[in-house]
Amino acid sequence: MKLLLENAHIEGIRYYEIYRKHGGYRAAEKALKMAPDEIVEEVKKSGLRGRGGAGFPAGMKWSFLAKPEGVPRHLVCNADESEPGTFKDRYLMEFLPHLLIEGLLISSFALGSNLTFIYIRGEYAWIVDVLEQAIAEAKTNGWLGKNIQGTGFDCEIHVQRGAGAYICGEETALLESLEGKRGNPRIKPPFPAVQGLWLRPTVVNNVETLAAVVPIMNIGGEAYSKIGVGRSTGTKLISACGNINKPGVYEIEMNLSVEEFIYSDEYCSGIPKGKKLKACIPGGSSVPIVPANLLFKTAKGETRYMNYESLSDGGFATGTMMGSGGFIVLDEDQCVVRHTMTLARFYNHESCGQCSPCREGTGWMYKILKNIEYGKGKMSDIDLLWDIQGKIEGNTICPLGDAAAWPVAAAIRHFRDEFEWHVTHPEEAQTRNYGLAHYAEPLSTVTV
Amino acid sequence: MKITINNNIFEAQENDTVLDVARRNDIYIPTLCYHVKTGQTAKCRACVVDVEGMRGMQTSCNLKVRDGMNVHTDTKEVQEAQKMVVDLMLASGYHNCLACERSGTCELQDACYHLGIEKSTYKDAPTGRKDESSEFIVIDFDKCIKCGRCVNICNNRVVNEVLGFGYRGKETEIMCDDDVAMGLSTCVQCGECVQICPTGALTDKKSRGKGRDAQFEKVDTTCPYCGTGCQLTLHVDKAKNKVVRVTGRDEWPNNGMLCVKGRYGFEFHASPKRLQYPLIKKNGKHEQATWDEALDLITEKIKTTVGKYGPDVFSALGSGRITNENNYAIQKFTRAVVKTNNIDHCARTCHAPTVAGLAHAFGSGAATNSVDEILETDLIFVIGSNMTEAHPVVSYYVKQAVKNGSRMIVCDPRRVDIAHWANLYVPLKVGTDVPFLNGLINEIIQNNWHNEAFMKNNTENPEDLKEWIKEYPVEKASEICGVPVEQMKQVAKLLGTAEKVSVIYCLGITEHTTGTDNVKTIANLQMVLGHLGKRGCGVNPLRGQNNVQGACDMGALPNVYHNYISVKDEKTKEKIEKHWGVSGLSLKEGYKLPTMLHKATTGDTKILFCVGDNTVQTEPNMAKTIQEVKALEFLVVIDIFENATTDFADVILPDVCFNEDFGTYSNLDRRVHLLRKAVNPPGEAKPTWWIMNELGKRLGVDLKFTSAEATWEDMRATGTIMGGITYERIQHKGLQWPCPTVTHPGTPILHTNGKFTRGKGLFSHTQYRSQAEMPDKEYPFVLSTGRRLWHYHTGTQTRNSIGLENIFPEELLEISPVDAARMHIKSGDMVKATSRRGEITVKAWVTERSPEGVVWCTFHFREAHANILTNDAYDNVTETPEYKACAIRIEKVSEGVETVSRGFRQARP
Ligand SMILES: Cc1cc2nc3c(=O)[nH]c(=O)nc-3n(C[C@H](O)[C@H](O)[C@H](O)COP(=O)(O)O)c2cc1C
Ligand code: SF4
Ligand code: SF4
Ligand code: SF4
Ligand code: SF4
Ligand code: FES
Repeated sequence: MKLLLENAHIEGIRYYEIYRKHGGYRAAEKALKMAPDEIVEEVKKSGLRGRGGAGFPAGMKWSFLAKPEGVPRHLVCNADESEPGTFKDRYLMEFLPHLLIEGLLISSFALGSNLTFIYIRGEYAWIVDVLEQAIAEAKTNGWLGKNIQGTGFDCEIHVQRGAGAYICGEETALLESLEGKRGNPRIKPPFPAVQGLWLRPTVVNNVETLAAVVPIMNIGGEAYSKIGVGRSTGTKLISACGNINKPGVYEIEMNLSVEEFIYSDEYCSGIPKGKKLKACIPGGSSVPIVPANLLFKTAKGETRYMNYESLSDGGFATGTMMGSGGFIVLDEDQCVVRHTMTLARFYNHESCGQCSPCREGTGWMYKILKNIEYGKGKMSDIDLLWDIQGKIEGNTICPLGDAAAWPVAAAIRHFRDEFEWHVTHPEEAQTRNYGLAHYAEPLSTVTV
Repeated sequence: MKITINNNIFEAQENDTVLDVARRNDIYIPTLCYHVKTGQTAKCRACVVDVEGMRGMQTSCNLKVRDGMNVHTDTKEVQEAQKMVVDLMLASGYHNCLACERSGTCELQDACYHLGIEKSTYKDAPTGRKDESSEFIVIDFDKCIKCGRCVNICNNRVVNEVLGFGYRGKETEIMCDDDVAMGLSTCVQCGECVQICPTGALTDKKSRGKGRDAQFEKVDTTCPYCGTGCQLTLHVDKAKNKVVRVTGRDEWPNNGMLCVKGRYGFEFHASPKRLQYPLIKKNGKHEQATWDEALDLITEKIKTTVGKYGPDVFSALGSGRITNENNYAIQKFTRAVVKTNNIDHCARTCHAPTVAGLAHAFGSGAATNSVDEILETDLIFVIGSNMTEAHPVVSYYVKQAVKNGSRMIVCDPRRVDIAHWANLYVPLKVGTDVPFLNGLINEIIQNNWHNEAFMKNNTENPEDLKEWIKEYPVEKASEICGVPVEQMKQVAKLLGTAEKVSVIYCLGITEHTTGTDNVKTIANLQMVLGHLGKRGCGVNPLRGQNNVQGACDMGALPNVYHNYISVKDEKTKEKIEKHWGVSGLSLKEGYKLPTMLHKATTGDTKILFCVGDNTVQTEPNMAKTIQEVKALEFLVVIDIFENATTDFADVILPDVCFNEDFGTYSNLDRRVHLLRKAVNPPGEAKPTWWIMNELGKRLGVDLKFTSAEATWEDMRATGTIMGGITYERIQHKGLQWPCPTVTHPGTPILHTNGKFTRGKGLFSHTQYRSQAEMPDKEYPFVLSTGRRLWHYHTGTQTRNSIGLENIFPEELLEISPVDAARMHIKSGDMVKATSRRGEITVKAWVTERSPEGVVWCTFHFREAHANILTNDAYDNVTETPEYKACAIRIEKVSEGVETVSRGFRQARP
């Protein structure tokens, strides 16, 4: 079932008339007749979880919003999408801008935000035009601006471009940046719901989260919660990339198995050239890498599904995370050391530099990984890496520190032999890859 | 409440952090970013501890205590986590403690010591990158641990807004402005960042290699520059008899902050140019003499001249730059020994209108409130003050207040740098303060924004004011002062509707022929608004010199003894005579400074005794002053350097300077501060009190000045408002007068509960009078004068210290871009400035700080001195000269090279 991308293929759906013709703004019509608190209630009922990475229940976040007398509140849409491997929000905004605008309108109404922002990744410059065009159309048609549809509710949406920093996707760094300052994350508490933009109560949600409010309004929170499994309700956008035949953005129901997602024709359609699967990072670069043998089946031998609970089954020892849905597949030709080094370089480059464990630690992890990758590593370096990542984790202001530590930890945990081989075979490691790990590729039951 | 740390139970308070409790109980936790002044940023993560029941490590610097909390700082895990952070920091740069300035006082070194880190686990090559471009500060990037303290303090405490972090990740580094070298940036070299840096990343350039911290004796004392009265610590190399470094003390009024002069302008005390021996003029040349020769000569001269012509041919000048004790000594000598009241000092040239105006309106001629209250005010109204240069530390508080949400209006003909932070900048025409303020008062009353109850209950004549103020409708006021009607209304509304207004003013108000009227009008305004006698309000003149408040308090004035006891009162005269053990004190008010000088040319002033006052350079119309000084029969100058005035002296006596004797200064919020002796004076230099005592002896009066403290005690015995202030009580922290008894806590706010010192407040009818010399065809420019950040007065201290002269080596005439373009003048060109009194040749600086038609320069440089041009027109009440306005003409002399570049905000060349 598709709730978000159902109409994505329709020619011209990016324009108001066509979007409206295909049922657009019906949810808004409905919502504007409800009391704001009723909308919050519906979203709570839907069980919708934040799609930005942390998976925090959206309705719960909304109900935490402080409402002091006389202080404006704001809704901020996080469209910074800079996590390597994640490009679902881009797809959504590019093809279905009105879906996001409608979601923003409903959410702004529910939360009482008369001034709402979309903070968008700087490189998505052309999407800014798409969004601004849609905002202008919505305004012309009375869905934004003053006295929306005669309800007396006013709402303006501003699009603000970032300037190329991954950290500005972290919600408090985003707010600092929006205020015109250097994007350094703030210490929490206070949370944005209490002191956010200009110290006013603020809700920050991901693009996909806010777009999902539209189908929730359309079908009702109750019905939405029935889709998917357990606490993983509704549908999820997955951006798939790496060694697969059909990279792209897919909307899935969360009772789909990982194996089916990789091999079925409807989704990734298997690995090119019949290569073997080596590992997968299922939720964007920040989540732990999983070796093939733990990907389709959990350690307990149960089928692994594409949802929050199942992906994290087994904790970090044998599981991973749903994250932001950036699904990266690695085949037998990929080098885990090199891959981990690339990520370490990314996190070091993107660390805002406030916390010393993150600023210095990511730098040292990158340096050590570089040494190992280029044949200058020592055995003790692997332990040192393990040591550093362990001390970064949980000891920083924002989760970027964790995000930098987890991939390194998981790589060493599952592929230690490959690291050791790099140390013991410094020259050979320069000419060929280690290949598959000590385990065999699990056999696919899906026929390609 | 109680918490447990490492299995011991400790008492804790509600808002304590775990770190607070640990520190109180001598449990060491490394902290590399936290500092009380820059707050809990939780960045360095060196302070982590383990708390039972909480997941992961917690940063103790921002972790509030809870009752029953169980904390561990010494487990293996905690130590490992702390170690890793410190280890990484050590590795992040190049830490060669052996040759580092900070070794011994470095917080990173301490952390390594406590955690047992001998060398880093990680290895990195030093970049060797240093920024030595600025005059006083070295940045060693290899030693920076990115704790952010300097960035925070530069932006949030001193609010100079220079430092920031640039780049990210491991490349993160501190930078000045938009990544320029410090020496080219807008950094004002206040040195606050150096003082707060935990490592050797920021160090004072001048003390490099001069010795380790432990070698120096630390002497707490008071800054010898402006009237803020900053508390500082001199780091003294006893063996060399030299100050090596200066740091700010964490005490009011400055809380550790200083400006470039206070922190880096200290070498003058050890200058080889200091006066060291008495000099007597023989055949037109000054020759070294013994103290006996010099003192005998002076005694002889006083005896014969006063004997022949009477005591009034003798005049004396105290100084706003010497101690209270020395001012008291010179006034007592003049009155008790010579028996004349001809004693005055340089307040005449600056804040005499304040003393007169505020005494008239309120009964007390001093600032009504304290510096710290600026942080509590709602609206700051600044008029006629270039505070970022003349009172930098006060400006830090003002900027802080604005950062924290106070609003500010800045009124000044020149776009002074503080206007950069103002919500509203109001450029009014030079010398139109009375109509401007009256227009505002009128508008306030029209709109019923005045405080009727306050006016009715606490002032004497509210109805009079309401009547005559009608003469100043805003439209008329606007026409005179050149501020658009709309803007005047806006200002009036802001003033009228604010909860607390603090008025801060300086010499832009007083140095006019209408100076006293200007002050009275400000007093009117605050009485109309009722913003007096409360915290965060008041009328707050910024006294210019370190001790100009004190010189007034000590009675270096022709109309009052110390503590403002009138000389005309028969009864108090008797009381003082009794205490001083003399008779025949004069009941006649003495001459004011300009009169003393004028009378020289008519032969009525024959002897001038001048202490710490460079009269020739500080009085207006220098040519005339020189004539007057030349006409004297006998001129005695006591000073620390030769200057333009000593040239004419018959006898020059070498004085001690601020760190060579004990004493006290009184600052701009009436706080009496202690000075301590840190070094020995050069040669045979002696304190003024000693000189006066010796002269007294020779003239048959025992003045009882056996030490600075004895002199103070002599004053205190008949002191009223300062009777309760003893050296003992101000060892650590100053006391604000009135402080009548030794148990009195001092008075931060005057006129509380609407009760004025004089009873009820008095409104004065003030009227517009134009400046004495209006610009005309022949002299089309208005010249205004003042002080710069980098220098002080006639430059004797700042130009004899290392570095300040390099930053600002010569005078610049500030001229507006419009005028400059019209006259084809560019920055760096030499121009000739001519007034009816003289001419100077000076370099031009084209800057938006000057409005069209107004030019500006200072009196710091003997080579191009403003006072050659200024007008000897005086305030009708106090005889304060109109330094802020005279008419001049400008001609371009030659082309030059631009030396002024990034100067706008901080007035840097
Ligand atoms: C380093 C970092 C980068 C992040 N980048 C993004 C991002 O690009 N987009 C996003 O929606 N959330 C991002 N987040 C998560 C946000 O902080 C925040 O949790 C999210 O916007 C909340 O929205 P949600 O509840 O709808 O998921 C990032 C978090 C971190 C720590
Ligand atoms: S964890 Fe890294 S990115 Fe996050 S605040 Fe700290 S230094 Fe910045
Ligand atoms: S900054 Fe501190 S740790 Fe570094 S070299 Fe200097 S004294 Fe040593
Ligand atoms: S010296 Fe003062 S102005 Fe300059 S950077 Fe340091 S704190 Fe800022
Ligand atoms: S220069 Fe000093 S105070 Fe500034 S960030 Fe570096 S270590 Fe901290
Ligand atoms: S001192 Fe606590 S984090 Fe730096």
